[in-house]
Amino acid sequence: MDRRKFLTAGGSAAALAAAAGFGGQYLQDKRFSVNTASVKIGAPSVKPPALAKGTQITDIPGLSSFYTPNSQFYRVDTALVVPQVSPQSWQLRIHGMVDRPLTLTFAELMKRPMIDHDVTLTCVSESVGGGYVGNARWQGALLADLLREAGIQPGATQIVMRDVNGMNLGVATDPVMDGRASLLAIGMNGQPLPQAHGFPVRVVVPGLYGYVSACKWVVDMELTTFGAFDAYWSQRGWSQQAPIKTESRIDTPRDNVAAGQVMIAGVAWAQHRGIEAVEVSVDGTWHQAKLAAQDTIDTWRQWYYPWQATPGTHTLQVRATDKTGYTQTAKNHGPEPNGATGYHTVRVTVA
Amino acid sequence: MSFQDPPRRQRQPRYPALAQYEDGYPSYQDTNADHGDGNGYQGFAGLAGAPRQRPPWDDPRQQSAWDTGAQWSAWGTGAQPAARDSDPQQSLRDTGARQTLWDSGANRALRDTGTQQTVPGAGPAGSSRNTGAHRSLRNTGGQRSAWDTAGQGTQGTEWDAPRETDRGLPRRTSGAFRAAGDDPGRPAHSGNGHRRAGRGLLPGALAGFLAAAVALGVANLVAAFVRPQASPIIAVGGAFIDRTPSALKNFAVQKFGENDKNMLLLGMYVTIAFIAIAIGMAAWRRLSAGVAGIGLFGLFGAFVAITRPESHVTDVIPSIVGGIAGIAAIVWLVQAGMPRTRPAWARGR
Repeated sequence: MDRRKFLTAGGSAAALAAAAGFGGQYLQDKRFSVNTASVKIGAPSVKPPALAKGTQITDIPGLSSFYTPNSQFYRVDTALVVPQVSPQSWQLRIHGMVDRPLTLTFAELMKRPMIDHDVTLTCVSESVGGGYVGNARWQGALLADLLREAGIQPGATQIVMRDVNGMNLGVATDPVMDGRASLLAIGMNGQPLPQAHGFPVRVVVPGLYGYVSACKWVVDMELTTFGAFDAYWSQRGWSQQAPIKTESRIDTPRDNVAAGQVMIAGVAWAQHRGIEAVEVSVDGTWHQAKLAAQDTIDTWRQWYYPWQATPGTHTLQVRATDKTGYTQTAKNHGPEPNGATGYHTVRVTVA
Repeated sequence: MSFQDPPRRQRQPRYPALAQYEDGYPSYQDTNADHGDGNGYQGFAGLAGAPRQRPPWDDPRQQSAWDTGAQWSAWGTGAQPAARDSDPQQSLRDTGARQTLWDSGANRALRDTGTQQTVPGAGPAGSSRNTGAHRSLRNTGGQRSAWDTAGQGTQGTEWDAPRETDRGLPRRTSGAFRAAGDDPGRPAHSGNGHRRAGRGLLPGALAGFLAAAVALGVANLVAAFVRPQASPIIAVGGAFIDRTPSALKNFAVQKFGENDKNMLLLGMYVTIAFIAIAIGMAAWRRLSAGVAGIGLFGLFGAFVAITRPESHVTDVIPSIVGGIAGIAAIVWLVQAGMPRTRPAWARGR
């Protein structure tokens, strides 16, 4: 065997592979990456009321901020590469069970009345105490108005939304049309949507888990029925309709703390019902937690409970009650098929 | 050429009936292949077209009649039986045996040359091979001097150490890639722990790995001119996501969080690397297997890319071009790793 020749060839092959692979990645980014800054997020047509005093608690270390920064917002989707959709080429087609199928360009969308609305999104994969929940101020046009313009037919129970890759989500028509602020969103926390969060246009429906509603890079909406079409996730065993369950989470403390006053704090959410109360259990005794002021009923609420920690090991739990009077169940259940339940439980050691 | 042929004496071969074995099969030097290293003499096993009938030196039943392994194995160790030098037949055998220990394409040719001296009892291989002799000796001075040294009965240390190039020899392949000196039954060096079993696996693995890297890299480059989703790794990964059982997907989302996609890609790369290594090992033995393996990979990528939702016809291009590049790479690498020798059909037999 001609070792030198082989190694030379091998080195050349490796260099070629690396150059082509990384060069290709560079070219892909260069050629296909869209500039989100081309979309300007202006003032909304309808100014939302100013946040009530005490809506945001910022002075408790470890507590989630009321608005989740875009860079820290969770991302769960099936797109292996982030789709790059240019606003110039973006179009939304609305068809199916509508009287007047229409196609909307990005410029036409931007001419529509824009609404700012705070909505906490939650992923159905959020296990109790997990991180797949985030709150943002979304700016967008009301989806219900657009569907009415298209002449949505009464029998249409499901809206099948497709993204640019062909991924489809199916959302029930009722929650979209019932007056809640379902948006074709173009802005997130005052910025254009990040590419990973659906630039240029995504759907935000308050109160529904993301897998049935929060279609990113949306380009197509087909009005149909649940009987006629099983969307991607319902084909895979998840529920066709999935309102977000009332849940709560302890953000701090998570492990060891020093004895003395310890702030137990976290967030609780019951989107489109609103959080009424949060209780904290220390070793089985429930205490009423203090709540931050309510923003909209579509957002989470921060809460805290000052606790005089005594040395030893303690079990902390939290449970929330929404404005319908429903207290979240203690029954532990995994995310499938329509969201996890149970009390978030944290064991801490106080030294 | 300054090479001087060793003296020749015309004699009848000792075993004329065994002349059929001379060409391309282990010559008589291979009889002591085991050399006591327990590696086992594989004889004709694995040789395409090997005769079913075992030659006497390969037949345990005739072993004692043929030769005693002890003296042969002593040669390989570098111990120099003094008596051998006085025996022309022995010293010639010695030459041949050492040449067998040589690696590479020129090796067998040289071995042939050695055995072709029709010294009495020079063995079954020692018949007419005159035409190829000079040509095959054209190669290197190193062999020439080795020959000379051997002929003088002094043994250079270079014979004793296992040649690094002795590793990684291809097994017999077909056609133009048939390599000389690749007899699986070739004796290993005695006592050096050199195992023939792994021969060709490492360079084959490397060739396969690199060929797959070239294929994926080129496909990624081409995808930059089609669309990123047409890159085969992305297309196949997307198809995998769509077909992942919910339990596995939940596990990934819970376990890896938002790194689930990176973990998927990592898993795919590792899987592809293993398959590519297997393909490379196969290619080392039979190049057509490597070509077919990489080609199938490319076709699979193209098929998946075009069956993705919202795919375009042009999405096949990265996989196809990448597959062609991978095939070119595996052919190139395997050929580069093969001994520089003339193929069998060109040796004037």
